[in-house]
Amino acid sequence: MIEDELLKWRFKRGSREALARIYEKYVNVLLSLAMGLLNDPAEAEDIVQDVFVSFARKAGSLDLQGSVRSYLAKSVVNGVRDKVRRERSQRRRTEKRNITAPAAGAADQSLIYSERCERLSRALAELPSEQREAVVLKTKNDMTLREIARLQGVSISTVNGRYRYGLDKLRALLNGDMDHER
Amino acid sequence: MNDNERLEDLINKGLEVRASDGTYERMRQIILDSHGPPGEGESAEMLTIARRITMRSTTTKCVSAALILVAVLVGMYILTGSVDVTSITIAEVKDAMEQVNWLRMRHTTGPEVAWYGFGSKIQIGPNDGGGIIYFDFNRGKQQVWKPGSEVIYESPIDENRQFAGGVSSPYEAIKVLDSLEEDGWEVTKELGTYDDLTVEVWTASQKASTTLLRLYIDAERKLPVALAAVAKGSDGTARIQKEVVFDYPQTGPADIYEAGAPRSAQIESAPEP
Repeated sequence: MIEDELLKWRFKRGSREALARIYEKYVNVLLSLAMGLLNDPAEAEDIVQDVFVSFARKAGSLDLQGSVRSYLAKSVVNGVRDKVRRERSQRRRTEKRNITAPAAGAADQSLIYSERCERLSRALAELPSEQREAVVLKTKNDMTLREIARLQGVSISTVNGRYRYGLDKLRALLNGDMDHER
Repeated sequence: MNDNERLEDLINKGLEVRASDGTYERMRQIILDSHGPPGEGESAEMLTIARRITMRSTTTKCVSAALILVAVLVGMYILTGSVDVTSITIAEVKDAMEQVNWLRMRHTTGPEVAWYGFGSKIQIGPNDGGGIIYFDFNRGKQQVWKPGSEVIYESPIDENRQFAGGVSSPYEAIKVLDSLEEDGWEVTKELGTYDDLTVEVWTASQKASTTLLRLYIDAERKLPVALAAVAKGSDGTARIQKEVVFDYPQTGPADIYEAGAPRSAQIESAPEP
């Protein structure tokens, strides 16, 4: 987008207004993306905030070659992966100590989403993480299979497979919703 | 629509999360407070020139018009060190731009069209998924229409948004400015044609770069007509990567309907978030 090129340029030169506009433009896009990847509104909010804070701090030194949206989306994906890794390791530790991990918190009122969004997010959470990433990044973030392949470090045909399998599984999980949409 | 497309559509439309007002503001404050200092790459000379042009322009009736190409012109100025070596000067282009009432911009590779009404402070652009967003900065209102909808939502313009993107609105010309951070750029100027129009072509190139930047200026009217980023192939071929075309109609769309929204669509206040 033309506006993004301008924002990128101004942001890299320290414009606070450009940062504010980037936030305004992409905060909800990124929250939706994080929700699709995590199925946890509170964590989605934390990750998006962390991504923006890190982005804001790098204003002068950021090597931003591609689009702002793509950069932020990739940062969210990396944030989600880090969180999942941390959780996995935490779970292993708590299991060893035979301590029950705390239950996930209730839906955070600070984010607004529909019941359908909640159902979608739950269904996406049933997919293996690679398939979930491929589906969410392609459908919600307009990323190409090539871009996703680069992000996941695999071939385009592998991503294509993940995407198709992901959609198939999702279709089975969401059968009622799909019928409703017809 | 087949099953896959329907499912993609369902995900795209259904997976929508937004921050509540309180969360939005809280996060915004935290993020803005984290903002780092300006980048060291910023050219003090460029900013000085831009500020000078900006201040001078505030006395003219079409402030923003003069600013549309400031970045390109400043960039060219710095790259060349002089603007008087060619038949068209920056001053001539600037003067011509100050007479402009409406500017229309479009990408030659896509459907995006943007309008800027400098006298009326109207800005119209594409919105997500083929919709239209219409800003009236004099009224402080924006209207949004989405394809297939029979409603146009009206709301106040966000305080951070400025007409024509603020002071420096170089659009795709931003690439020219980016190039300032690199050494060894050269600008050549020659007569040529663009869509059968006689133009002066200002080309910025660098040995190490595979991209050329071309600004086409109408030789008669002294108005920029297009800006292109061109990829150089190793075999000497050239391929346009991005191209923005400018034209200057006498008038622009009077309202969002003239900009393409259906006449049957009703204007309503946007629901409170």
